[in-house]
Amino acid sequence: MTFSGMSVQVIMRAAGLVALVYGLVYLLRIRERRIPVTQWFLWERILRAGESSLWARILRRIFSYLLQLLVAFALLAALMEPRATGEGPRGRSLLILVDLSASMGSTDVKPSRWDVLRGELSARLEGLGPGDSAALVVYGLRPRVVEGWTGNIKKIISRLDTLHPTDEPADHGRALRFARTMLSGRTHPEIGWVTDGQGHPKGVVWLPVPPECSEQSGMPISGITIKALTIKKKLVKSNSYTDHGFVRFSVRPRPDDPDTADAYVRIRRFRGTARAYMDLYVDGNWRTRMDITGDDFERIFPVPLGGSTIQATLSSAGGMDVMSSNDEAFAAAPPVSQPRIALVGEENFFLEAALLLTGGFLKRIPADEYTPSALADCGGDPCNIAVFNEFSPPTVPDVPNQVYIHPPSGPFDVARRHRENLQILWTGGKRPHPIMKGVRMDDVNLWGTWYSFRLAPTDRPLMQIDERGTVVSMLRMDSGRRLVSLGFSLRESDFVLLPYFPVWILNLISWFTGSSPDLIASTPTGTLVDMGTAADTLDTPKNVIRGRIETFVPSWRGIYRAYSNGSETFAMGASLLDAREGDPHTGQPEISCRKVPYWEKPAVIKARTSSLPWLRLLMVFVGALGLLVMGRLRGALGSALVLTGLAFAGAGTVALVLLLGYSPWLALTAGAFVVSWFEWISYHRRMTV
Amino acid sequence: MKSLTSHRRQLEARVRKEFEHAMDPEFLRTLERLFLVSKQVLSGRFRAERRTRKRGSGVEFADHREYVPGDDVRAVDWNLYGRLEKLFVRMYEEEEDLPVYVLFDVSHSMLEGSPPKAIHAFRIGAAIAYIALASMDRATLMPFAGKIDAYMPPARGKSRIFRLFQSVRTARVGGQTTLQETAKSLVYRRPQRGHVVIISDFFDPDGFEEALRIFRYGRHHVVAVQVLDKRELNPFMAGDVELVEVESGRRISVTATASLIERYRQELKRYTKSLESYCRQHAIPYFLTVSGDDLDMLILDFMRKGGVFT
Repeated sequence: MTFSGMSVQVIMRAAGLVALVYGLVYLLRIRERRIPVTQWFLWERILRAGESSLWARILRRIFSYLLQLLVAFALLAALMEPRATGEGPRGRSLLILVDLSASMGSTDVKPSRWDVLRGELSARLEGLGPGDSAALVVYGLRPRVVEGWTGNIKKIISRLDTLHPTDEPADHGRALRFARTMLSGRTHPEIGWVTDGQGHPKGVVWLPVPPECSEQSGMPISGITIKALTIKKKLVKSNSYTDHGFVRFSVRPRPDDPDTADAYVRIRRFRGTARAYMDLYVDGNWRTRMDITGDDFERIFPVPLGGSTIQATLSSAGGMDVMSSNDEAFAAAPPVSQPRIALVGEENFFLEAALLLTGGFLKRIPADEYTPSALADCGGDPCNIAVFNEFSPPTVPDVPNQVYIHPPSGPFDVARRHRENLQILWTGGKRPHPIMKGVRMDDVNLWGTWYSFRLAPTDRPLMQIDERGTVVSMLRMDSGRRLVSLGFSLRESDFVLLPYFPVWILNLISWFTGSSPDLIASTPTGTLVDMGTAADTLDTPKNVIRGRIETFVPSWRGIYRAYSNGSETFAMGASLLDAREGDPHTGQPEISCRKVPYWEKPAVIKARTSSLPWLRLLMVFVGALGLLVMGRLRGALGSALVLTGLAFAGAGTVALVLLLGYSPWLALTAGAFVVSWFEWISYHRRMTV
Repeated sequence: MKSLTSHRRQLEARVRKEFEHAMDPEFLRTLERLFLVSKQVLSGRFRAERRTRKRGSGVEFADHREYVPGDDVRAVDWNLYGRLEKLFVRMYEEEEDLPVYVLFDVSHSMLEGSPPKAIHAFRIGAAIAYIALASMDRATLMPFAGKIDAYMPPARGKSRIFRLFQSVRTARVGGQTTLQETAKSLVYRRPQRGHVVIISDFFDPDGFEEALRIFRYGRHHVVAVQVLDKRELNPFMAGDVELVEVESGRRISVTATASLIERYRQELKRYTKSLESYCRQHAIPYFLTVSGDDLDMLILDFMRKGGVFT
């Protein structure tokens, strides 16, 4: 334990001075008040029975003096702001893990959950010793290092003031795994976990984590001390709060009517009984309003579109909505580039017909007329898609999207040439690539010669004979160009006769141009977004980010737009669509394998800071109480019992306050108060003359 | 509390100042009012009706005794001589007014209290003496602690009260209570037997029994008035205190707990009960008064039950 960086000599001198002053004051205090009495002989008769307790009186005064000296020292020590070091000169490695998910912005605790916890955290960080090092990590769905390992705790405290809750849901498990990685190899690892407990997964923190449970929970963090700082249940009392939130939001323009869209919403009432209204805006213009009734509202309805961004807003009809993050949902139709296709090589009626379905410009180039410059003009603009059918260009042209159907040579490495008729059974498994969405190949017969390709590390298979390999179709990203190959000939298969062929072609062209036949779903906040192409500017709801950007994580609800050379290349809407994050009645993150009894499931967040030895503490306090009661015995025995009882009570109080996670100075002050109080009320009772 | 000496001086000065005010018209008016009240209560029962048991020359026959030489031959009962042939003389009850000796305690223990018990005792004594004087009885008022230094013989008449007050003003205040010494100093002086009203706290380490016995031995009709203070009945103290005996200056440290205070109350109660019971056994009227209490009720009670003026 250190005391505000003071040396032992200084502390000893201060203590000596206090003892001297206190001793003088005590000597003055023990001068008894003189009371004149007239009935001396009466007093003599009474006091004759108490003559034997003279030593007890002396002892009591000495004990009392010692106790009060102890109290004075405890208060002096508390004033010096003691800091628990305990780990020797190496110090602790404290990783401060801060939950900045959307629920931390809830205002059911005033001013907000984050503001309350930030205040508490700052106060506790001041108690870090000089040998400690700390790092600050914040997380929503993904963890992020805000301040690396540093011994300057004030730096971390100042960084705390710059943090604000995001619109992301929380993934406590991922955050703890990240923290464990950061703490691996460090001495005396410790996690200071600041969270309201809402998010994923549900459960209760039981600390320390038993080693046998760590494997089951999938979070091998045993050996790391975790101290949680959470919102106390007592802080959230009001029943007048209400909370509605979006959990799903999608919009799809109707194919037959571009000015109308189908909107799909799912809204949940997490708290309260008030009704709500949903207003829908398109490009900032109000379009329609809808009453939201019931606890779980789900509906698909037509929306007059006439724009590219759609915003839905919830407003409560009564009560205060304590969480605004899930009161808004956004969706944006991405910019669609017109397909300008060059079909090079053999003509194929089915292929041309499928390409014409896309509605773009189609230019036919026979194989013998092909030159790279022929791809520079597709109706006045350069071709953005080149389809090579039974043809391999000498060099890979500079077209962003290229399709090679049964190429006789290059640019792909052929693993094997096949002649047998094999069925293509694997088209992406459970999560197929958008190109393969809705496409089945198990009925396709192959004849003639077809190829299987060898994959480079960055290549992605699209069609395989089975899960183990024999790649028939693949996707390659090459210097910003997207190259798709198909290993068999359209003429020597019945693929073109199946309905899956035009679907495949449409998927292919849609993916190349960035358009999607799916619902324009609102992207959940916190998920990684891959734009496909690099942009130089990203316009987010909070700021504008410049630089080469291919992926980003939308932390805030709103519209995100990416630009490349001034033209928009990407747009999307992000919303908090997480039911667990909005639900205030979710439990705490679970690390333990123990099943939580229902009576321990709190209505609001209550994470345990540590497992307190309640039984032992209770025994200490009961013992102290017993000794104090026994102190009513007369004589020296009574004095000794009371002294022991007071010491028990004081030590127990200090231990309790420390175990509850409060600062040492607060523990000492509380202990001094308890000892003073008991000493005061028991001094004149614990014995007579 | 300051030193014991200065504390005593302070109390003595206060009591003396109060004695100085004894001759104030206000206090005299109070005494006159008390006299008028007592007169209504004891209407028609004054002097002429009070008789002693002394055999003498009155008109009321009391007894016979054998003749001895020197007896007045006029008292010989010749009728009895005719029947018994022996000489007997007739004895008659002698009528006389009995003086009232009012003794009030001014020892150090009586200087304590609020107001000091000595002042309360003086007021009671002054009221009794004044009523007696105004009723044409002979009365005297004397302060005491140990033996009575300045004896004032009883006298008659209202105006006598000023002389009594004058003697009180010059009397010594303080000292240790020794009731025996007081009783002896009065009885051994062989004054005319009469009513002795003792106003004191009766806190005498040697006890009160012997003193009362001496008064009774002197054939005086004794009345005991015990004066206590509120703080004596309910001591206001807590914690570690040093008790100082005001008369002897002895000290002891005690922790004044609730149980200790209760034990003291019980002991005081036992002591006052013993005094009361002793007085009852020996037909001594006993009164308990608390310093500062209203005098009217006490005096009326005294008139009814005291036997001084009946």
